[in-house]
Amino acid sequence: MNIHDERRYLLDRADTYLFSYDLTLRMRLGGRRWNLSLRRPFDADKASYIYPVETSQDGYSVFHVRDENVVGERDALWGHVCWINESLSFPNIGDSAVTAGTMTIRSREGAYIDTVISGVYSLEELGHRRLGQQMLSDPVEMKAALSLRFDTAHAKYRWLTQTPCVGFGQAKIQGGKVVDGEGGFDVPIAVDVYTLC
Amino acid sequence: MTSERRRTFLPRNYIYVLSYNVDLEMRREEIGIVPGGVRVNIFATPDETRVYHALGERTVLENKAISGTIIWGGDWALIREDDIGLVDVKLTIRTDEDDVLDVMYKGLFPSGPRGFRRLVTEKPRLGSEKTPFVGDVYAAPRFETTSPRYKWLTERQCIGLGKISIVDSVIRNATFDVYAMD
Repeated sequence: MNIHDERRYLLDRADTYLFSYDLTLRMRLGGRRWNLSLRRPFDADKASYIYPVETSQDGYSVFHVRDENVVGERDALWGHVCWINESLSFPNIGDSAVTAGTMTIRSREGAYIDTVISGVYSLEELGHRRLGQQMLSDPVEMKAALSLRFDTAHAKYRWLTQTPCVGFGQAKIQGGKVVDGEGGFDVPIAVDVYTLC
Repeated sequence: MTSERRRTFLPRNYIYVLSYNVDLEMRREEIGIVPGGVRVNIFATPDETRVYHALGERTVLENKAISGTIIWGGDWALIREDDIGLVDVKLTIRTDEDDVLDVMYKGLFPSGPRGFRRLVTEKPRLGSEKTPFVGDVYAAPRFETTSPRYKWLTERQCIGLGKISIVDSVIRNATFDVYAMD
């Protein structure tokens, strides 16, 4: 192909579903940005966060929507999100927020998978303005379009480090209020993760 | 524990936005072997890369489709020892209407088994003039601009699917399709 010729066809594109994660995050105002983080109970005696004890696949926050244990030729990812923190900023007065953050997944085998998240949250019309009033009487819906990159040393999931992924999500900022930086909103979020290769 | 876990997929859609083919300058900054891999900075030949709609359409989501030129661009790449290439690209597009769009993206280039060694040390090198090595690149571009004509694009996360051509372990050119996630 002559690089200077304009193509008249699109390159092949495909995506494959990998896993989903459904969580409830806490949204707090941090200066000019909003922070989304996972709140997990903390055991002060043991100085550690409390992880849920899984007794069935229904208990996992990282799961396969169809309950499958295999994706392609690999084991499906089941486990928990044990850490997530995203920082949302609104680059203009519109209803789209840019996000950047990290997430740690612990698989049911105990593998830790580090995730770098970037993307855009699109709030419903006038959602940004309502958020700016720092008190919500009604929920604000938002859609998430995320890019995710994974890192792990665990042999079983090393293939994830070579896999470019995207996430399509939905979230709802629940009612509540923020006063002088204190308080916040609960945000149930659901994301489906796909690989592009 | 309850059985209330979600069992339906969320909606997803990709909207094709633009394509571009990049000719890369012979000038490159080979930083060399750093902890974790090899770092190299690569630059696009300025003003020689067209941005266009591959299917010839004039609109995208009822907005004018982008056509223009990449006036500047570079990739600050790290080829990791585990055969993963990480791209970190910034480029500037000037449209045919003289709007300026800033594009930034990080991405992934799986160079395949022994890709790192073939790129760095081993012979034969990766790709030849007769048979260039063509690899897949995946990116997550975001656009910024003050132009109201393309404000719609700044409110979306995009993905880039591309192919790069390597000859004698040197990246010669790349071609990309960019989609907005919806």
